[in-house]
Amino acid sequence: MNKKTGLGFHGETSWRCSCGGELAPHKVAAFYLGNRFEIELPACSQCGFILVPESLAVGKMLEVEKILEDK
Amino acid sequence: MSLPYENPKWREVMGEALHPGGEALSRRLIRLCDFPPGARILDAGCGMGATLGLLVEEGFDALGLDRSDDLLAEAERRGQVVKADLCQMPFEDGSFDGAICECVLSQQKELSPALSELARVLKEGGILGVTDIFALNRSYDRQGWDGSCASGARSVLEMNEAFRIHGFEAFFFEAYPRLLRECTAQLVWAGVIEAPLNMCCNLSYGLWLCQKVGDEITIKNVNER
Repeated sequence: MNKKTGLGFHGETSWRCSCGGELAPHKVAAFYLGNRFEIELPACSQCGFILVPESLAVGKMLEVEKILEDK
Repeated sequence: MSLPYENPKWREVMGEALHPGGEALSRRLIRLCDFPPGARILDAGCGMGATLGLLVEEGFDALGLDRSDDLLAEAERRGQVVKADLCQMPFEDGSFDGAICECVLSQQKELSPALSELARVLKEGGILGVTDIFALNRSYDRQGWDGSCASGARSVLEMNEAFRIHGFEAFFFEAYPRLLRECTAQLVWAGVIEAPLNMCCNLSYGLWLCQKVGDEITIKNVNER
C-alpha cells in the first residue's frame, strides 16, 4: 500500500525482469473500457516491462472489470 | 457519525462534485433546469459547493445548504451557504425560484420530510432538478436502510410518486447507468468501498426535472375527499 496516497500497493518481490533489469515501483495507469485506474506496480528500470501480480489480476482488477462490464 | 462523502478518499476519487457524473452532469442539470436569469436557486445538499460555484458562475443568486461543517468550509469559498437540515430549512415559504438536489434524496430514510420542505420553500411553478441513484428492479426497503445512497435507492416509480404527492410534476427523466458503474469501479479500485454483489445490475443513476405544480396540503386534502 502506498502510504502517501493509500490508493495502490508496492509489491515486494525478488524477481528480476527477463532483460536482467531491476524491478522498481512505478506509478502506472491501467485503462479499461474508457476508464483510467492508477496504481503503483513493479516495473523494469531498463525496458519498462510492468509486473502485474496474479493477486491483483484475479482480485481487484477482476472486480473492477466485472463492475464495468455489468456481469 | 461521519458521512461517507466526508471521507477524504471519497473526495479524491469522486472529485469535488462528490457524485457520479461530476461537473459535466451538474452542468447538464443546470442547463436543463433552464432557470430564469438571476433566479434565486437553492443547492440543497451542496457538499463542497462544486455546483454552487457553477450556479454563481452562471449568474444565479444561489445559496448552498448542507449539514456538514467540514464540507461547508469548502463550499463557502464558492458562494453563500447555510448550515441546516434539508428536512427543517430556515427559509420562508416560496423563498426560491428553483432548487438543485444532487445525490441527496437517496440518503434520506424517508423522502417525505425532505420533499415537503423543498415544496414549501419553492415558489409555485419553480423547477426542482434532481440527480440520484435509483433502483432498477426492486422497491425501497426501509428496514435495509443503512444511510448509504445504495440502500436508499428508490425505483423510478417510487420517486415519481413521491414527487407527485408532494406537489411536484416530474416532466423529464434521463438514466445514466454507465456513470454509476464507472464511479463504483473507481471507488472499489481505490479501496473506499467493497465490490458490491450485483449492485450494478440493480442500480442506476438518473436525472429528474420536476415542477412545483400545487400546494402539497391542497393535494392531500383533495385526495382525502
